[in-house]
Formats: sequence, C-alpha cells, structure tokens
Amino acid sequence: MLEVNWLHLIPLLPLCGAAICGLVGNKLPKSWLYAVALGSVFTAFMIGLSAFGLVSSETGASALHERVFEWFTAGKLHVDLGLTIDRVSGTLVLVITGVGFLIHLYSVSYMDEDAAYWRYFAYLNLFVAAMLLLVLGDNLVAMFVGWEGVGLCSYLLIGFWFEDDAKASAGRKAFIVNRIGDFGFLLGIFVIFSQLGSVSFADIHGATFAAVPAALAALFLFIGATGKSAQLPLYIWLPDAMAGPTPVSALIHAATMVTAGVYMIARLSHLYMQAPGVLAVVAIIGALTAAWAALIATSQSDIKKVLAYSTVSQLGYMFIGVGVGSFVAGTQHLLTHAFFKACLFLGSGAVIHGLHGEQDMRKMGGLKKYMPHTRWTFLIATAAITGTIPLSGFFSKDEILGKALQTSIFNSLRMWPGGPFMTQLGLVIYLLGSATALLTAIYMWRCYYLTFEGDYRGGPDVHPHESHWFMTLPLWILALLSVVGLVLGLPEPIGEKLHLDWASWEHFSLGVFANPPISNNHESIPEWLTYGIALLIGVVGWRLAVYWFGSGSEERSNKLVAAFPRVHSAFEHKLYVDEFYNAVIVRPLWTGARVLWRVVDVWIIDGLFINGTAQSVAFIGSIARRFQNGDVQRYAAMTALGLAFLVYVFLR
Amino acid sequence: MNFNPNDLVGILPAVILTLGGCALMTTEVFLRKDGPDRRYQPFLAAVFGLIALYVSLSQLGDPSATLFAGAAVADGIGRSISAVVSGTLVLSVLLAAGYLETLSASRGEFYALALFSAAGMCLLSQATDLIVVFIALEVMSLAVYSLTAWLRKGTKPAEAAFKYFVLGSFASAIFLYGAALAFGAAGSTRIADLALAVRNANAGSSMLVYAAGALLTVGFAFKVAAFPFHMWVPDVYDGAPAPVTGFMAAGVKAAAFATLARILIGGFGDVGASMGPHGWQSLIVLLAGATMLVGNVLAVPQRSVKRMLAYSSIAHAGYLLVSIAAMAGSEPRQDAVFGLVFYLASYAATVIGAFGIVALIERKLAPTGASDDLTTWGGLAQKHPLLAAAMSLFMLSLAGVPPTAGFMGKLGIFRAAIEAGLVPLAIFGVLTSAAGLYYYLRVVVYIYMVPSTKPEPVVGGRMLTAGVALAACAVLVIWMGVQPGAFATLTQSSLAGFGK
Repeated sequence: MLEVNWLHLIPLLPLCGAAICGLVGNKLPKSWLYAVALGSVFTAFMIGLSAFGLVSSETGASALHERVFEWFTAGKLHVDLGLTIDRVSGTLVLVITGVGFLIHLYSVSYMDEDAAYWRYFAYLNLFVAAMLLLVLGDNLVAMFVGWEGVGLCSYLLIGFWFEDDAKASAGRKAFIVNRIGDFGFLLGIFVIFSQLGSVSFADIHGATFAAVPAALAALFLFIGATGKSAQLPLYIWLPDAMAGPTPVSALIHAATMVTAGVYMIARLSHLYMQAPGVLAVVAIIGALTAAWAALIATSQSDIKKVLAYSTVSQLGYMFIGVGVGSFVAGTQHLLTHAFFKACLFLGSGAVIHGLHGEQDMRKMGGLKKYMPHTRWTFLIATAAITGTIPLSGFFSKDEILGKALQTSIFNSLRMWPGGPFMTQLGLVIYLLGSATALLTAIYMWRCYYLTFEGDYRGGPDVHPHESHWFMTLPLWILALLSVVGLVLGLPEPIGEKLHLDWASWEHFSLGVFANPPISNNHESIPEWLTYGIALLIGVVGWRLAVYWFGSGSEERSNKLVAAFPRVHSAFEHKLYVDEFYNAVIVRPLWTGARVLWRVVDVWIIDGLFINGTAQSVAFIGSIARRFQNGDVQRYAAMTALGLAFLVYVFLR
Repeated sequence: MNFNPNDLVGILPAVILTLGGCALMTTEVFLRKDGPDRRYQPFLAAVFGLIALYVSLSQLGDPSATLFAGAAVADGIGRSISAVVSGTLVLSVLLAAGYLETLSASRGEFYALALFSAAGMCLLSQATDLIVVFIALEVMSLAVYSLTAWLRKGTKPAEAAFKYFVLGSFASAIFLYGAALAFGAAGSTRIADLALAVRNANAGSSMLVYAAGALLTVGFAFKVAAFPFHMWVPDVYDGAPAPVTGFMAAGVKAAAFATLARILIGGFGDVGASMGPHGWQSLIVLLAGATMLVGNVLAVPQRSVKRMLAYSSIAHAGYLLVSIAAMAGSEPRQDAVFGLVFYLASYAATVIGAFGIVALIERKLAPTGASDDLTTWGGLAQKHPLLAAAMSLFMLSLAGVPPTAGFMGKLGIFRAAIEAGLVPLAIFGVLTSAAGLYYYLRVVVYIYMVPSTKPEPVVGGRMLTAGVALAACAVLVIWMGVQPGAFATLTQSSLAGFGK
C-alpha cells in the first residue's frame, strides 16, 4: 500500500468539469464546453493510466491509497474520505474514464442539436465523477456517496427530456426503485458498523463475523445490489430507463453504473465468503434474472428494449459468477460486457440517429447497405455477446458457467433444516445459465437480422445514413476491445503458449478477492466438453435465429407467433410484472397515501395541530393586545404590578 | 477617594466616545446650516466609533483591573460589551447618514447624542458601584430619549419619546429606590459590599437586601424589555427613526444585560441557584419563559415589519434571560456567559441590519406618512435583489436558522441552559423560537413571492454608505454562523474578572 497525494484528482477533474458545464455552460462557446467536458474525462483517464501502471507492474506496490481528508467523526464512527486503487479498481477506473470518454465523444455528435447540450454534459461529467468515487472509495460510506451520486445522475439523465411526461416518470421510477435498494445498502452498512465499529474495506477484509450478522449484512447489501444492478425483483426500472438519450444507456445502464452491485459484492468478497447461504441466494437470483430477462428479450420489438433486457440478463450472469464464489469470473464478465454492450448500445444509437428517432425493429431492415461501420461493429459485438469463439464474451461467460459447475461452496448448505445438502445447486445453475445462453443467441441474432439484414421496411420519407466519425470511431474502438478482451479469459495452456498469461484476469487480480474454495464437484467434466457445449449452444441459437428471423422468414416467424399466441403476448407484455407490481404494491400505497392525506393530514395535522395552534395563538394574542393599547398609565400600572410580584417572590 | 489618571485607560472606549461627542458638538457650531461640509459628520462619528472598537478589542486579553477605588472595573465582560456597543454605533451612524439626509434632519447633534449614549453604555457595562450604574444608565437613556424624538414631523416620534421618557424615569426611580435600600442594608453602594451583606444576612436583616435585589432587577428588566415591563417597546421602537431603533435594540440591550448579570452574579450570586426562598434563578426562569412566550405570540399578528421586529426584540430578551438564569451561582457558569456575549454580538449584527433595511423602506414611505405594512415589502426581490437577499438572511438569523449567527447564538444559550439543568426552559425556548419562524418567514414570503403592484425603488442618497454597513452586517451574520470559533476571543475573554 503506497500512500500518494494525487488520487483525488481522478474524481475531482470530472467534478470540476460538471461544475463548469452546469454553472456557466450555456454562456460558453460550444467548442469550449466540449473541451472542458471531454478534456476533464480524458485527463482523468491519463491519471488513471499512470496509477494503473504503478499497481500493475510486478515489482511495484499492490495498491495506492490517499487519505484526502477526515470527513467526519460521530461517536465511535470515524469516516475518512479515502481513495484506493488496486488492480481491480484501477482497471475499472480505466473502463469508466476510457469508455466514458468515448461516449462523451460520441455524444458530441449525438446531442449536437439538443438545446440543453450543456446540461447534458454537466450531468454526464457528474456521473463520471460519482462513479469514480464509488469505485475508488476505501470505505462503505464513501462508496455509498458515489452509489447515491450515480443514482442521482441516472435519474437526471433518464428524465433528461423531462417535458415528455413518460420520460420524466421513467426517471422517477428508476429513482424510487433504486431507493428501495439503497435502503438495504444502508442497513448493510449499519450491520457492519455495529459488528466491526468500522466501515473501511481494509477492516472488513480481515474481519471474521459471526454467522448471523455476516448473513444479515451480506443480504442487506445484496438488496442494494438488486436495485442498482437491476436484478429480480427490482429490475423493472432498467427497461424504462431507455427513455434517456442512447449514449446514457450505453454508459450508465450498460457499462458502468448497473455493474456497481457486482463490483460491491466482489469488493466485499471476504464478507460474502462468510455467508455461503447468501451467496446461494445471489447465484439463484442471478440465474433466474438471466433466464427471465432473456425470455422477455426474445419478443421485444424496440431495439433499445431488447438491449435493456439483454443487460439485465447479462448482469444475472455476473451475479451467478460472484454467487458461486468466483469473484474473478463475475468481474471479468463485468469488464467484457462493458465493452460489447456499450458497443451495441452506441450502435443502436447510431441506427436510431440515422433513422431520425425510429426505434422499432419492425420498421428497420437492410441497414447494412446504408451504415457499413455501424453494421460491422454491431455484428462483432453481437458475436461477442452470443458467445462466439474466440471473442471476449465466449471466455467470460464460459468461465462463469464452468465455475458454477465446479463450485463446492454450497455443499455445506441444507435445503431446509435437516434436509439434504445442496450439492447439485451448481449443476442447476449451470443448466439454467446454458439455457439462457441459447436464448441470448436467439434474441441477439434476431436483433441483428431484423435491423441490418433483409430489406428496408421503414417509410419512404426516412433516409437512413451513416453517422459522423465522432460516432463511428468510438464504435470501432469498442468493437476492437470486445475482441481484444479475450486475453482476460484465455485458458491457461493457450495463454502460456501465446505469452499472454500475464494478462489473464485471474492472474492479474490475484490477491484482491477472497479465494474460492477448492473445487471438487464434477471434476470429471473436462474443460473441452463445456467449451464444446457452449459453442454448440451458440451455433444452434444462431441457426434458429436465421431460420425464424433471417431474410425472407416472415412467414415462419408469423407462424411461430400464431402457434403460441398467449406465450408471445405474455413475453411482449414483459410477463406482466409491471402490472403485478402496480396491483400489489403501487395501488395499495396510493390508497394508503390518500387515507393519510385526506384523514391524517387534512383533519388532524392541518386542522387540529396547525390551524388549532394558529387559532389559539391568535386568541392569546387578542387578549394580550388589550393591555397594549398605547395608554402610558396602563403600561405604568402593569410595571407596578410586575414589581409587586417580583418583590413578593424575592421576599417570600 | 483619590483620583488616579491611569484609571482612565480602563474606561478608554467611553472616554474616546465622549471626546467624539464633544468634537461633533463643536463642529456643529462652526458649520453652516445645510452646507455640504456637514456631510462628513457621520464619518467623523464612525471614526470615533471605530477607534473605540479597536481599543476595546485590543484590550480584550488584558488582565482585569479595579478602577476608581472600586467604582468601576476593567474586566472581560466590560470590554466585550464595549466592543459590541462600539461596533453597533459605527454601523448605526452609517445607516442613519442617508436616512437623515433624505428626511432633511441631518445635524451634528444626532451623532453627538449617539456617541454620548454609546459612552454611557460602555460605562454602564463597567460600573461596579450602584451610583455609577445609575449615572451611566441616565447618560445612556437621556441621549436615547432624545434620539427617539429626533424626527420632529408628525406626532409619532414625539409620543414615542415621551412614553419612553416617562416610563424610563419610572424604572430609574425604581432602580434608585433599590440602590437606596441596598445602601441601607450594606452601608455602601458597591456591588461587592452588597455581596458581603447577602452572605452575612440573617433572618432579620435579609428583608432589606432582598427587597433591594427585587427593585434593582426590575429597573433593568425594564431596560431589557422583559415581561411584564416590556409594554413601552412596541410604541417606542415603532415611533423612533429606524436606525435609532436598531441602535437601541442592539446597544441598550447589550449594556443592560451586562449590568443585570453583574448585579445578579456579583451581588446576589451566593443565593442564585438555591431554588428555595430568595433564589433569583427561578424568578429569572419565570421571566424568561413569559418574555419568550409574550414576545413571540404578540409578534404573530403584526402587519408592520418594524412593529414585528419590536415584539421580536422582546422575544430575544427572553432568550437572553435564559442565559442569565443559566449563569446562576456564586461563580457564573462559563458557557452561559459565553452564550450571553455571543448572543448579544450576533443579535446586534442581525438587528442593525434588519432595521437598516427597514430604514431604507421607511425613508421611501416617509413622504406619504404610511407605515411599513407587509404589502409595501412585496416585490422587493424584483427591484432590489441584494436587499431582498440581505433581509431574508437577517430574518433567518433572527429565527435561528443555520448557518446564521442567530442559530449559533441560540445553540450556545440553550446548550448552557441544558448544562445548568434548566431542560424544561430550554425546550420551551426552542418551541417558542420555532413559532417565531412563522412571522420571520412571512417577511421573506412577501419579499419574494408577493408581487408588488407598483414596485418603487428606494429613494435618497448615501445608498453606498448604507450598502457598506448592510454588507458588513450580512458578512458578520454569516461569519458568526459558519465560523463561531473566530469570535472565541470576544466571548471567552468576557469571563476574566467577572463574578466576585
């Protein structure tokens, strides 16, 4: 641990950028504003790069730390604003500032015509600053500040076009659902503080908890993660969050913020290893979410909704990874997903931009003719997410599924007190994850084919066109990263042969996470078999998608819909989850709120307390005013009476 | 008694202010009537005030000394109060300059009277002999009576001044009666000798001492406007020129509270906290509670901001009495003394600013003879955004909202009260101050949210002078609210030599 004094610059620069853009942005010339917004993020990226260089060298310090200032002390609770960069948070800093810079660049062209571009860049810079604080914070409270900060920016950016009622309420929905999760996060912090008397990661790292508090803290924090990272049952805000500008969806709702839950669990890996029951919950929720969202994604016709459900599903994979105790696999998928999903979102943004706001895939098709750059990059990213060998997504996803199969962390758990051990839970999760992989291939290839292949189905007055290089350059860089990301997960023998083993994530992040228990389940299954199965699944999914959604397949897909009308309708309506929540939670709350308003507020508080107090004050005042009539004799009489009273009390 | 000229150093602020008053009287003789050269008079007065302020601040840390064979003392609380009074004077004359000029009432005597009354206040806060107390009290009061009557147009100032004079004389008489009884009991008018008499009093002779205590307390309860001796306040504050009102509210209160504390602690400290017969703490608790209640309740229905501020000053007297009650004991409680001095300073900065802005409104209204009803404050934010912001700041400070001086002041006083075991009184005080939010924020509502039918600009000259004074008040209010530690020397040195 090396103490330095410049780490604070990394979050501070985007914060200053946000202040400048937000306060004087509308008075600055446009080019200056862009220089500030992009320059601050790029400078932060360069500083992050040098920090990363220090911690990634074999001989250097394993981590850099800066104690910026003592934040507050309240009784036993002592909180510093401290920042730490180790290899994991350093990598994430590069992802946040690097991908963040690309998305800033893309936004210059994308948001050029919006009158409130300055507000947009202020929010975007603020988001980068908050996300950096979340990742760099060396204690739970600092992380929570970043956690809330990104939530705020997410709300501001989803509702960026707040004149539109639907978009404004999408922002509110995201904020409220996130608050439910944040409540869990706070409770988790309280439990840890009450047990440990400290909230710093360094102290949590080495602490041993009793079983119940460990489980409670881990569970509460995981509730926070389900909110921020859109897992069952709190995932519902993320599809609606697509109301915001598309670059925002790419940065916040795909690459960075939504993965914060995974990062937090990985950062607290030592706590979670002490709560295997909660890890089982994490893995099960992750697997269910992955499958659930993938099912819905197959029937969405809005290109951004498909990508949104895909994000929910992929986040489910990451939670499977951390849930089975392989924090390496979970965070590795976090990184590769950041590249290819950002690429997909930016590609969809380019499509939407080129079609003047059209988001319905039924009115697209054949766009490869008009947008070659967008098409190729989208193709590469689709190949990556569907698990095509040898792109990055294949290795990171397979790593997760492989670890799920091998894990022994649930062996000591019973299904119910006195019941059988959950030795087969890993297998179940593996099967669920593999089925999801098939669905992923189907819906992503469907998305690709409907958008870029076949004939153009849109109206004659829309003329699709390729975007400015400000937009295509980030696409290419991200596509390249989706390919190059494979070095993170190369199998050991191949990596050694290519002399790339140093870049393997498992090797690189050694020592940061808690070690997963030595595997003993299903040892007999060789790696090549799981690879083969994964590959087969990818190919089958692709063929199915071509069969149903490729060019000239309208009849077949229509038949498919006609064969299962109710199933299709259910998927199309997102499995009626919003309707269910509305009936079970929102409506009762509304009713309760109305009762509180009409009865408690209007009658009791306003009527009795407020007006009653006012009336009694007025009554006292009207009596007291009689003495205050401007008559000196009366004043003197009052004085004399008062004097008599005082003398009486003194002499009594 | 032999006169030692060195003792004059101990009362240097009062001496400087007296000399300044004489100087201004002299200029009046030589200057032509309404000539342009009399424009520098307020600045001359301010310079004398600044010198006095500098002297009292520079003496803050000095060891305390008995002056004039025990007739006065140069101690911490005297110097702190002298500093507050001198600062009050500077800000008030700067605010009065443009006001008087606009109403064609600008003459040197005004500033001379202000300086003399400030000299009286300084001396009052240092007096340890009841005779000197009385003389200083009268020097202060007579000058303030005259200032109240300064505007001779209309009946309101004259009525106000006459009421003040009559009732003030009544109170002085009561005080003098108390001083006579004290002499009878102790054979001396020194407060220290009174303390001896209290300590040695047995069942037979105690009557006289405690009757003296009651009468002396009433004399000052009148000056600080405690219930039920507060009735003159609304009429006088309303009738006096607004800059004078600010000066009275801040300066008279500071000097009177210091002396009240000195008499109660120095003379009757031994029987302060004993809650049985003759303990004055329970009495002050009663007075404080009633004063806070009456001030806040009666301020609610007021439509005139100036009159509202008058009732609010009664309420603030109640808060200050809380600190007096918390001091009770032969050795005064430190935090209560700090709280008292800090509150007086913070209240001075706030209330002078508030009355300064009232003065600006008043000089606009003066030609029409209208009172400053809340409606005349409507639209101020559109016409004068800075004034509106400053007035809102002062209102928030009076209401005790952080991060203003008023909040830190209340915090200090109520904390001292809780430390002293007066928890119910502290709770009651917080509740009444919460009620105060209503009428303070109503002013802010009118300034910002009620549009004016015909927003007229504030008229008259010397806007820059007034602006500088108001800015100084605003800066002080925020500074004391954000960094009260910067004023620690002012408050903490006040304890030196205080008590026995």
